[in-house]
Amino acid sequence: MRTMMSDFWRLAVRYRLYTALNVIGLGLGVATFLTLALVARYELGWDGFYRQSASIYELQADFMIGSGTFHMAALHDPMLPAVQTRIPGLQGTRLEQISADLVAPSDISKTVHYDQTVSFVDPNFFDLFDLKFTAGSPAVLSSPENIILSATMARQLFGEKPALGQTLEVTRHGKTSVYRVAGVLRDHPSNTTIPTDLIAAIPKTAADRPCDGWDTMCAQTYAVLPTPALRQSFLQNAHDVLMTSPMSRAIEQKDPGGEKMTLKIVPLPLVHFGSDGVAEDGASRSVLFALAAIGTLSLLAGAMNYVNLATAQSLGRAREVAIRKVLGASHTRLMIRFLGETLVLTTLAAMLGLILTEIALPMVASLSGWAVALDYGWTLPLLCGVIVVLTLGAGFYPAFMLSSFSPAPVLASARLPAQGRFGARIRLFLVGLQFAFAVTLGICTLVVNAQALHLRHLDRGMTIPGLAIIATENLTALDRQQTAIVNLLRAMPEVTDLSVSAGGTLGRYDVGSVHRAPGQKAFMAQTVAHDEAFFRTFRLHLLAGRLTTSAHATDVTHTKNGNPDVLAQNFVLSREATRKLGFSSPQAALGQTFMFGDSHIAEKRTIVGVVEDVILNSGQDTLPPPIYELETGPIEQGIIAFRTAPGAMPRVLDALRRAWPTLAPGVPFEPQTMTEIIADSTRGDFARGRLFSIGAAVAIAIACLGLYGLAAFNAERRMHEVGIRKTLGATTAQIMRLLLGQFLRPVLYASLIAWPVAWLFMRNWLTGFDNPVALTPLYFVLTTLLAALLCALTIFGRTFGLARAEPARALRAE
Amino acid sequence: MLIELSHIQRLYRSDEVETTALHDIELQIEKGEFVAIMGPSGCGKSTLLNILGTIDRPTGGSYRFGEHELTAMNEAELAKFRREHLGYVFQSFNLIDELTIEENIELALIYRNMPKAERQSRVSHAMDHVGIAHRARHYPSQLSGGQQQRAAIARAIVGEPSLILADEPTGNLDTENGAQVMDILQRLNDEGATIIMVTHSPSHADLARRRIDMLDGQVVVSVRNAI
Repeated sequence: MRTMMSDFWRLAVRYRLYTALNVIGLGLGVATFLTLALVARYELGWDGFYRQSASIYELQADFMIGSGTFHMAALHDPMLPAVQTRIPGLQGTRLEQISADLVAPSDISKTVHYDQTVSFVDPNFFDLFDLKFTAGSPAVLSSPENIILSATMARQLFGEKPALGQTLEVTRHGKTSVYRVAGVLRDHPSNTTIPTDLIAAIPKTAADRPCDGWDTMCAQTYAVLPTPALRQSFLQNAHDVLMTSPMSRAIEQKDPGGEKMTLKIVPLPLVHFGSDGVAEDGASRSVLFALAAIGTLSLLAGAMNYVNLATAQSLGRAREVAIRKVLGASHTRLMIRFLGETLVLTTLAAMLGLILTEIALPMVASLSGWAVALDYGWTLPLLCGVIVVLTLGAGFYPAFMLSSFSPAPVLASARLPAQGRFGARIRLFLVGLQFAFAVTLGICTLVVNAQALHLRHLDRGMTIPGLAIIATENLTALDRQQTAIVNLLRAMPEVTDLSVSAGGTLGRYDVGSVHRAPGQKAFMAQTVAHDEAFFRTFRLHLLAGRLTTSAHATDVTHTKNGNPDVLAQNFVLSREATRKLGFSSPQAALGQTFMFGDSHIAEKRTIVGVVEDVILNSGQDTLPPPIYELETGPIEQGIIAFRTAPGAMPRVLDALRRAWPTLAPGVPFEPQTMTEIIADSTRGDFARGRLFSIGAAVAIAIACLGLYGLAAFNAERRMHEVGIRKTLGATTAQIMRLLLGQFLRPVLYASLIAWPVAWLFMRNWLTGFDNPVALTPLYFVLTTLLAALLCALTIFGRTFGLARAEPARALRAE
Repeated sequence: MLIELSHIQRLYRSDEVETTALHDIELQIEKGEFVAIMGPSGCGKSTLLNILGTIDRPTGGSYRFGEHELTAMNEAELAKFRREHLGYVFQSFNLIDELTIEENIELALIYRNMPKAERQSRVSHAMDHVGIAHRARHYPSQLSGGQQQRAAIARAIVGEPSLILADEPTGNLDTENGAQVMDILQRLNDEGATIIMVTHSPSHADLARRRIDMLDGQVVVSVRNAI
């Protein structure tokens, strides 16, 4: 080991440049690999820490209404017990989430903790989800008055005081229940889909239960299904239960306009990715695949650098090998010696990689929203594996080549052995591969960033600046204060328009089935109930016809005691809704009718106006298209939207903030400007863009390091050749052209590989967006030009020095 | 007069030492001459040849070549001069390993921006002239020393230079191959080529029309051989 270290040290001192390039290149590769491996582990490890994780499945349902699919991750409350009676011994549990406000009576300040998620579970919940307790035990679920808190929640509610034995008031829908804290959970990894802050047993009495028999679907249903046979039996029995339930009507397929419901089971680790394969944090399996590919290829690029520089360097060591062989060293012994040197170098690079990972991870976590952290217990064994694989994989060929020099010709010749056409081509080929990877990533980076920018500046279907909203839908306390907030805002001279509507794309909305004519295919639309000022406030872009107004009696739905009394006959539709109804243009839809409501109770409505689609998300998760219904009565749990005079928004928000404590005491002040909402919706895309940019920068850096090393090697090796060429009359410019051309050629060939690969990737990725940016040749040409420019800049110094060499001195080289 | 060297001096300076490689060289060479330069190692033969070949610059004196004053030329002008007027033959052949024999010979013409067809015809003529045509597609490493030197001579003459400079052209060759190379040089001289050759071999020097002996950076003897 000592010999190995001292050999390496001597070599590192003699070939300082190559050693530094190798360690940095490999270090960057290792860092990228480790970082992305940790990200992949985090994303693929969702819910993976439960003992039975691999055998737990969640029962889910897909509703198909016409051509649209509506996904439900929760089933009916009675489903699991019914299936369990059909499959004796089946291990399963339910989780029913509610949103509630909490107050700890022991808290002197009586802080209200609004909008907290409480999980009501079956008593056997902890048999499946084996969370550890710091106080109490799973048995406490046997009493409906008990509640279990996460360690974080316990600290939040009770500070440093012991939580066990304290009481907690839980208020939902105006009804307060008192619970006693009977258990506290240990902190566990954050990557779980199971909400574990507040856990209580599902109430025994029907009136207290969050789910209401066969009428609502709100029980997340889990079962332990270790065998394919059991999984099949479970699904079949669940289907049979459904068919004998009051829900059976929903899955009849006789009526083409009717609904169809299918059941499916999803393995627990994949629940995180959701129905469309995209998780809430924006990670999808395709994004993960791309990141895994980038990580592996970065490591490979670093290894290629090593092979390139080590084989190039080995020519300079031929004489050393020849002398060692003359003194009796065997081929095998020399191989081991050189592999030993590689081992020391890769270990150094791995250490540098680990340091870089430690630095990069917090940055990656904040950019991507992934709570990844460096887990040494997992990372160090992986790093050791990487060292071994790199040593053997990247070190074998150079070691073999170096130990294969035949001593006689090497010692007899004044010149070093020729580098060989094959060796030179291999080196250029490897550089080409590195650049193919870098150019592919470069193109993807440009496209991903262009898409993010495109989304930020997209026509959102309304006038964005000067518009803000206050959502009252989830905050019962705020809902009660809606009128006071509206009155305050209306009294401000800077507020030019104000409207209350039922969410729409902004939040809660009602879903309704819509179809063109009886018997035709239906689709789901969101019905946005709104007041008279809605269109004026949002300034939705009118494409055809007119907006609804109370001046037309048939435009308005009148409500009495919160229920619709007279229904509006005329509707304004979004462009997408008219398209789904089959109209060729907004104009073509005017005056036409459509059927509104489930097929058996659908009523005819008339389209009087068409507005542009409102786009508030990043366009990756498609929401049902809105149809707009004018209402006269108060709209509860609505969205208060207001528009201010230009530049007046900060003053209005400031005044509102000052009045807030008296308007809604204890409720967080969270109005959002539309500009912020749009920025939030594209934040993930920008973050991904930045991650790709970092990846591309690293890949290009590795490729350039390799290229610089080769240029340096070339400067040494080709000095003599340049001498010959100059003696034959070549000018410095001609030599420069020759050398730059030889290095730029691999970049151009690399583009031939990179362009189609990047095109396939990006075309596939962009299809996920409703508003994709056009995949023009610009991105491809620009990236190649940039890569060529970087390549030229990297090698310019070395090459220029070589091209300017005096011929007589150059001829004496070697 | 083809070549006229006047007070040519070449000093090498390092931090501590100043070495005089050439000292006040006066030399005239007529068109069509075959001059052999002899002398012990380190006497300045190769330095003189390098200066004559413009691949090294004198630190003093004047070098006229026909109408050209070469010491006043910049690097680009010298490169142009070399490719139009000079041909080189080296002791270690100096062929480029990565190029075939044919490509090596063609190289001198490529830098002249000569059309492809003319290049090919000239290359094939030059290869025929030295008897290497059958090895056109081979790489230098696949040829014997004698064959490589003949290829190097073909490269030197393919541009029809005014002057051929040969730096110990037989130094790396056995007797038979050495004799063959000298035959070719003599034939070229008979055809009108001006040749300056550095050699260690008295017998090869005797084949030239004039012999110059050097010692310690100076020309000590210049005699015409009786041929």
